[in-house]
Amino acid sequence: MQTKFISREQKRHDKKGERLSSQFYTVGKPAPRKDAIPKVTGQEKFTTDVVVPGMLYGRVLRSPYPHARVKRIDTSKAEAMGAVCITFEETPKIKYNERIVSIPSATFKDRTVLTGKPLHVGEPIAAVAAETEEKAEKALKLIEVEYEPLEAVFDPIVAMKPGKPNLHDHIIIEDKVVEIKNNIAAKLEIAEGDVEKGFQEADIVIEREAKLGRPYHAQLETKSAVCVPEPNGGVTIWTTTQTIHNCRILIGEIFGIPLNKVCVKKVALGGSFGSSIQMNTILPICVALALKAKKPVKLVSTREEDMYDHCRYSMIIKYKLGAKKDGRLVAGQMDVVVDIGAHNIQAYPLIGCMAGWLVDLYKIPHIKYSAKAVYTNKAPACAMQGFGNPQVNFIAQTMMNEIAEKLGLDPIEVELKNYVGLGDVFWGQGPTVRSVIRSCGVEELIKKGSEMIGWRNRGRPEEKKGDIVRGIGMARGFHTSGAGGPLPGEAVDFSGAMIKINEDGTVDVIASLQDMGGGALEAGLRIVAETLGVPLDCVELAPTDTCTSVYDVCLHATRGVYVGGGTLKKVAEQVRQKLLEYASRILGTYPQYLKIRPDEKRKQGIIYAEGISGKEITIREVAATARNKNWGTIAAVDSLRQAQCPPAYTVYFLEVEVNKRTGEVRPVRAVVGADCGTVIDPIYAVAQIHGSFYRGLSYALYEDTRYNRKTGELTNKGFLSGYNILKAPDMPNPDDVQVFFASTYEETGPFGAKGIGEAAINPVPAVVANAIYNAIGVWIRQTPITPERVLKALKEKGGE
Amino acid sequence: MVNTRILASEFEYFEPRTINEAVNLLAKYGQEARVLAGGSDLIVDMKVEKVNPKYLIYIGKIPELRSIAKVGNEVVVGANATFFDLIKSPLLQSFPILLEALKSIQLEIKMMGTIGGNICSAAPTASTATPLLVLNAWVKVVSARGSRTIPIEKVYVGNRKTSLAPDELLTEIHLPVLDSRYGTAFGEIKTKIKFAVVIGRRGDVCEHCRIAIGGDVEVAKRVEKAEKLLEGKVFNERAIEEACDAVVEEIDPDNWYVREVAKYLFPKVVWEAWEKAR
Repeated sequence: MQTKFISREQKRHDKKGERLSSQFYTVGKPAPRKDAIPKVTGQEKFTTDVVVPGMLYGRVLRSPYPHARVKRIDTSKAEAMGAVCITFEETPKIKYNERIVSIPSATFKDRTVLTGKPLHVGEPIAAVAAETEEKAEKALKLIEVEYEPLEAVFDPIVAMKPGKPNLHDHIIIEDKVVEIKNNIAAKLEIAEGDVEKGFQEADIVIEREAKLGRPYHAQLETKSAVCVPEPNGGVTIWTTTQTIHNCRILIGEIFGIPLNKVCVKKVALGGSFGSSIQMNTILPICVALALKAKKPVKLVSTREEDMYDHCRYSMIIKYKLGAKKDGRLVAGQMDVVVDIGAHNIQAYPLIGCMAGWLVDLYKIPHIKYSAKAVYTNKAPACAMQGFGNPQVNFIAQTMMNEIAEKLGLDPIEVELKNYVGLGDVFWGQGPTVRSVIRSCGVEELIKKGSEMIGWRNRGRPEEKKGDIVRGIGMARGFHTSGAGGPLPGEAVDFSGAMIKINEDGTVDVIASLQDMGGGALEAGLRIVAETLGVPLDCVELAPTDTCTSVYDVCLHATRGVYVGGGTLKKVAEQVRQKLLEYASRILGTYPQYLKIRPDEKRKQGIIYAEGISGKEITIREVAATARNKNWGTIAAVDSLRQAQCPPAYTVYFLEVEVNKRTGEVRPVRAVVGADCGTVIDPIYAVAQIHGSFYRGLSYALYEDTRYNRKTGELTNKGFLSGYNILKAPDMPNPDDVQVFFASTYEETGPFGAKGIGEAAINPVPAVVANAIYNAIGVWIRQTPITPERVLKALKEKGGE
Repeated sequence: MVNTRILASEFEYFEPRTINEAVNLLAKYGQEARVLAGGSDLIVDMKVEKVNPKYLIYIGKIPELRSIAKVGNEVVVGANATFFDLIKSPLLQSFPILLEALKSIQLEIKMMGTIGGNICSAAPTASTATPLLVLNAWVKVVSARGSRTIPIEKVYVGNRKTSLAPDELLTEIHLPVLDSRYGTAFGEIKTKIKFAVVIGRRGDVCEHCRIAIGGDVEVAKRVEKAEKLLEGKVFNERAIEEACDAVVEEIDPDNWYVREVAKYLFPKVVWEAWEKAR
């Protein structure tokens, strides 16, 4: 592992008076996570650990049909055994969209708490609550339902054809009824320049199609909720979520409860990979059960229910790309069909983002993009690490490699000619928000990484002999740090926090931002400690809920460090200001001449006037004095909108071993270069990259959910044991995955930091395909790249 | 939708302390009972509602079922010995082919799964099936009616079907120690295909040959046709190719991928066994 913390940009900053990052006290220094011990020892509290006296257990009745109408439902037998039952007939009819990260005009509402017209196997029809989960399970089996099965569609291309059943006749946008035709849930067309003219100017034009699978998130924690009805008519909620405030807004809206009576408690999240960007399906069901039972209810999805509840967006992407002889791109035309499943959770933002992912990868003067998001009778797709970016990257990066091969150029040379970097306009999360790139480590990463892997010695596929051959591939990607921008745009993106100094000099951080497990808030605590000049030990995350915290939109879009951390820095600076004012009153100095340094031994921040002996005081003394003299609490609360969403870049070099007789692909070693600006903690940044790399390998080589076209069921019936995923014995050894960081400094980020999470997965499927090409001379553009597909492609090539 | 969090079935549960107690319970409940050993197959099957026994007879509290001992020229393994017990046992080190087959089992299953359970589940993909077949293993089964012995190839009678009667308990697995001049080899491609081979040679001639196939096939079994094609012949590429064709015939013609990889794997495994033979 190699890390660098000082860069040219940073030195420039030093002239402006900021500290060099080598002089950071906390930022950039490895330190154990605060949640490490509770998580490793099983003491961390997740939603499933929440137990409330008198609590009932809920279970959900789900449709066995992919498309049906409920003709009759009878809960009397279940009620006779003492279970509380709710059906679609009595729950609120209001249509909602469970993801409200976008502004109302970009939020397509097509679902209700329960439904009498299920659109996929597993869609909730009714629910029960009883004293034990076993009793609830029995009650569930006593509910009688008569279904009228309807024709179902599973293929998005077929679903668009006339005469096929319409899943949704209409949806709601804001308060307007919008008709849906041919199952097209959303579409987008964008053009810049003149693409026809561009292709005429090109020396080489290739046109390819990629099919990307439908992985399930397979997060550790299945979706869970506990809801307590309160005497004031409100509810207290613990739930699996990336956004407590959006859950609160939605529950308030669906059940007509004023928001000050909806208290959503922040609780540790057992992984998500994007699947809780929305309020999860079970939460409003749990609330409806609790309101009817007038008792607390706990509802925890089984793994099978969870697998029928969410997945990654699968899609078919056609891409036509034209380049000049020297590898410079001139024109590109991309057509996308996305299979969104039964509900439109966020297809419209997805296809907008994908346009961004396309134009932000390469400078292409003439470009045309069209996308259609199509309903099918399958589990609804939602955000998953990368949000369309790995999919676009997969076809674009493999085609760039192919063009380089065809032109006899080094793919690296072609990358460097075309990449979007420093000073270029960046579309970020789509066409509505544009900003200018201020930090970029692409060139540095490519050059260094290619040396580390031995790029020049990778050989050509036709030179490689034997049944088992090796190949080295390269792919490059990026992701936005957040969804901010200089204009409001279609995504809400700001964060808020409160920070206060306690009477003993310790610090409470009240942030509604979630931590998916990647350490966004751990980074946030480092940023607070650095800003305030206190030891990391002095800073703790306070238990937080929606009533006592200010708004944060959601932990998504690789925004944790850049937006969340940026907000914490802004608020901490205000606290620091107040602290220095109070200290100057005591010390008799001017606040602007005071500095703070952490004293690890005394476990205090020490405020001092540089060069003047005796003018020194601990934060504890300042805080205690402020209390005793009734000056008030040293605290601040504020929000921050970032006016950029700077790209975090990654460059992957991967070596794979391919068995030409079996089609098996074994990743052997990798070199990963990452540009996340200042690295807040080198150990966790590397861990984040390792995790994303392995998940990306799994996406590329193993994961998919398939459907039985007759029954509409998952072929693995939702069993994790039947879900193919990368397992530990098949992973390359972490020691063989070298990670290094670019020496960049993002001037708009907290202490120069950007994001990293999704940037680290985006190029992985492409790098796998490129490495396979270098080994066996065949492009495989369908994920998962199974041994069967590799062998078939080899046979087809042999037959040519 | 199946719920694997709650074991939805209701059953009576027994923990006999002796083989006698166990077989008496089996005699009483026979058809409606299942023997629970490590549970790594049975509990999963119960959770996914593939089986729904009314009585579960847990044999983990019968100490003698976990013993591993050498008796004459055989190693006798108690049915309840876990995969991990086998790997750790000094006596099992003389069966490298069996240990090789256990390698790809995940740690959790190694700790829980048992050899007897693996045999009684009779999955064609079972890790121990192909090595036991070529090692000429045999098993002892006990019931209230008495006891009998069955050669392993007569145990596997179909896909997940054994020849054991509902009241019979598998107690011992007998592994005859192979003459050291025999060469053995095991090879697999994940869940797709598994081969185990034992070869005895004299000079260039394959004197004796045992071949077992497992994986994505109907049932794990010996491939006698292929064995006969090699036995008594000069061991060369041509002979192997003919034997390979016979082996591939055992695989469903629609399963093109498994047939392809079998053609790759089989010669490798046979060659390895040949080279180890003396």
